[in-house]
Amino acid sequence: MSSVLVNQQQTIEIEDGKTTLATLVTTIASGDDIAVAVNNHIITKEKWSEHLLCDNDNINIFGAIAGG
Amino acid sequence: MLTDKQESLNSDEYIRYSRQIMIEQWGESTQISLKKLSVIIVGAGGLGNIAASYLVGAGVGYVAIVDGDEVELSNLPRQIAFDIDSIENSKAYELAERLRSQNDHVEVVGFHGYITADNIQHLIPPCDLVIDCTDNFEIRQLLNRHCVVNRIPLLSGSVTKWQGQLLLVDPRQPAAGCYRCLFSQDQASEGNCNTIGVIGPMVGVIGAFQASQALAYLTRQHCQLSDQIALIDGDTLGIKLLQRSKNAQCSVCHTVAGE
Ligand SMILES: [Zn+2]
Repeated sequence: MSSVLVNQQQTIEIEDGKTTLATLVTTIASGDDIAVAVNNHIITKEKWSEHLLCDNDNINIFGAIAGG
Repeated sequence: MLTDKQESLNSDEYIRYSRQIMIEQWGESTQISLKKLSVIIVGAGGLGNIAASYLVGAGVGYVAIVDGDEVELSNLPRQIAFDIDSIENSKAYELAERLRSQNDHVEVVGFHGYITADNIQHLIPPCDLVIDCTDNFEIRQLLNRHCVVNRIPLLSGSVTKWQGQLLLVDPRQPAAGCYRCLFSQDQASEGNCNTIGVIGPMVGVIGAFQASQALAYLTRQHCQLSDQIALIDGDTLGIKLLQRSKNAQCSVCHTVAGE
């Protein structure tokens, strides 16, 4: 079974080359204003539904923060 | 860019800036070029206190501070330019006064007021760099739009709890996109220092990174943050650099591209 690592902590099973980033994000994140990187490259929101994940991809998901 | 600044350093300036002038890649010429540059710092809270102090200390020619807040008791743990006598005074004026006494070679101006869509053109004129040290998404998005449209470099820093974020919206690197390419909402559930708290030293860490990256950018026209975002965790000492790219549906970048 293939998997990706999210925020250095969580291992999530995927279908190699078939699961989209959009699917992963809906599974594990809330609807907040979040940004996502795959293997250290930000994938902008409009590409989430076409970006296919691969085995061992390293995913970072983070929200905007505003404090100053 | 300030044009009426002297093309040389006097003896006081030479001694004052000697520790950075002695760095091989810096030298006297870089120090003189800094005198001609103008930076606007929006937000005179924790980040602004630190970033402004290092940039004024380094000898940036003109530094403006914009903030509509007054100093409160709960600010004192991390806004180190202020003390008990500052309470209820304008943060912008207090910080500007402190910076002027730190380095009288620098022209420091304080503006007491909040940035709005109506006054942004007046408060943020063309300059060499705007540094976002604000505490809310509405002004962050407003600054981003203004800076992208007017091709002003924008160095954004933010902090809550133990976490910080840094990025530079660089007009020389349009392919890296802007703040709105990453975060599209004007409001988000993840809040600011007032609503979810912050560890005092973290504003120092992020504010100091803003100052050092500002100096890198001002002196080399490029820095690590020009096309990346830095996620900094003060608890684990982790720094993650992620490559940014333009969002094809970004309303701000789209406006500029369509001109
Ligand atoms: Zn954009």
